[in-house]
Amino acid sequence: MTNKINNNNNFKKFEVIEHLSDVMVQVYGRTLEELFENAAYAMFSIITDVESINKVVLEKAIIEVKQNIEIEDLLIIWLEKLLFLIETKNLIFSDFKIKNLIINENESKIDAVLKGEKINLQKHEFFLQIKAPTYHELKIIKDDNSGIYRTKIIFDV
Amino acid sequence: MKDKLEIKKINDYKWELVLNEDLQMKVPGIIFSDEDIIKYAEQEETLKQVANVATLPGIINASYAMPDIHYGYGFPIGGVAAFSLEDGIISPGGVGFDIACGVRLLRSDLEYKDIKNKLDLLMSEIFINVPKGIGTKGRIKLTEKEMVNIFKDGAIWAVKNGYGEEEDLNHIEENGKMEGAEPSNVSKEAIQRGFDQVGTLGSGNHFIEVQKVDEIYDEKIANIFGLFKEQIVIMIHSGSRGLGHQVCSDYLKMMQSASKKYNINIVDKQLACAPIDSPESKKYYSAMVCAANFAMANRECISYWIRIVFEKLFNKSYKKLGIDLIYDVSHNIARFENHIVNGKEQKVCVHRKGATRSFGPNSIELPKDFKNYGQPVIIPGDMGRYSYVLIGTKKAMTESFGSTCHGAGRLLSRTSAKKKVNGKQLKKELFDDKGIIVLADSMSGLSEEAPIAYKDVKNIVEIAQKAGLSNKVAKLIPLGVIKG
Repeated sequence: MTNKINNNNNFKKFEVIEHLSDVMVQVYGRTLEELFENAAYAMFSIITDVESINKVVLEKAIIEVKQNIEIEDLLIIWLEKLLFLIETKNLIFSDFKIKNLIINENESKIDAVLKGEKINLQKHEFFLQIKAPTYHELKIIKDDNSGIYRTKIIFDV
Repeated sequence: MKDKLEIKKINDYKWELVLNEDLQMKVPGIIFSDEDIIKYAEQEETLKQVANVATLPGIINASYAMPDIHYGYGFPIGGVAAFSLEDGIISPGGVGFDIACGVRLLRSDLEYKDIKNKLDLLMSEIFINVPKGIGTKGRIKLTEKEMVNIFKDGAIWAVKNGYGEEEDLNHIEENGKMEGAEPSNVSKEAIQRGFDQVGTLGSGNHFIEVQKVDEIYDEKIANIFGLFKEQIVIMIHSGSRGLGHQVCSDYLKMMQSASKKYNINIVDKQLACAPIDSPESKKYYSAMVCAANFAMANRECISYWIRIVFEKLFNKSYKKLGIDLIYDVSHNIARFENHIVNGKEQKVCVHRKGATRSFGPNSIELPKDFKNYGQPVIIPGDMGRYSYVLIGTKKAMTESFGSTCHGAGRLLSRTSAKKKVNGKQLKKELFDDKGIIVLADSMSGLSEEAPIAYKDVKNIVEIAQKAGLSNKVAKLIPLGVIKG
């Protein structure tokens, strides 16, 4: 996979779309790595004020799947990993750097560094707890003209 | 026939979604609804989801939609489907991420006049004593061994460990413990997520409400259930927490490959499934049972802490206060049940996603106290209006595989609700206008749960009654509300 391009601050990471019972976002990325990072950012924005999360704790997130899966499956696994870290390590994150993303017939891998801090209820208001990202309408598309990747994700809340 | 959905009215409260082979439907849809809700469901593409469920192999009779039907993903919320053991499937999406999310109602001997001057204190104490489990740990520290015991024993674990009463167990579906748990089929990740979470409320639409019985519709049944006018009752809505969510996620993935392996053409990834007798389905079911048992233990523990708060406040044991469990129901679950199909009794696998079991009199699953009458059905409304206690009916057994609605169903999206409602303002209005005390950690989360975001549950419950699925017993109104 290509190396991640440095973030342009004007690039729109995601937007929230109306959904009756849950929360739906449309996420964008100039590369697949950036799409995955922005999906993570979007998820934390649903949970709390993501910009209020200080980047003082570094956590590695490594995902390895030794079977043939689709890119959407990998995205779900990535987001679930982050939910797992929230609940088991009491951490929330606002910065996501995917150093390596591999997907092929035999294996899929993500090697990422997350920055955030321990949950502090005095400081962090939890808007919603996310139960899981769903497969519904999840389809990563690369725009033919702009080359931008996008997908919808519905989170069960 | 093209891919257009066609609805036919069967009667004022029952509609048929005509079988459309082009959409690969194997059975029609049956929607229990009035004219208004049908129009609403049509707009929301909910009917397409009802049709999608009808494509699943081995589905019996119909893809059912309860009166509170609304758009979800995969299965609609308020969806019921029964599958034959021979050629049917199990689908984790037909259960939901919050496995065995459910509601329970505790009664008491107290009347409104007994608590009205202590309501403030009562609600603050409950708020402090029941952990939400978000960014905070639960009060119960578990080892992996204890987790395994919870998976196997459900609410029995809670009772054995001092968090409940033996008598409660008779008043929980499956006596508080579903059979068929296999803890080794629950992933390490799910167990780790669950470690700190037994006895925690969760968030979103989970809540604890102290309520007053406002109206009785059926004196005889109310008496059997232990309800009377002006009585103080407590309603708890919670589920299997992160543990359940992870179990569903784990098995949804497994089922994606299983669907391909068994050549099941699924029209929506969230409907991923496998044949009932396949190793994949057996594993999922056994893990689902673990999560369901965890949910029932969870609600039992939460009840215990609420009971203790009442004890401290009234200086009397909760037993002497009459704080007993009326019933505990799960509304996201798959169960093996016996039903009459084409005149013969047959075991089937019923999926209820946002639907409550509503068994009628003489069902063997019912506890002795209720066997002659039917199952209590607990239907929460929104925090500003009312909730209901209903009773299951004989008719439900043949109309909907013994199922009815589970709540009001949303009317506004969370984003719309947040735009229209200010959480702080809502809290103030509910207190000023109705004296309802609301405690919540997040005002943003609260605004999303505002009464205007929900349908009027009164209408839902009326439709369920007119359709013959469940009958009203009592109306409850909120006095104090705790949101996760």
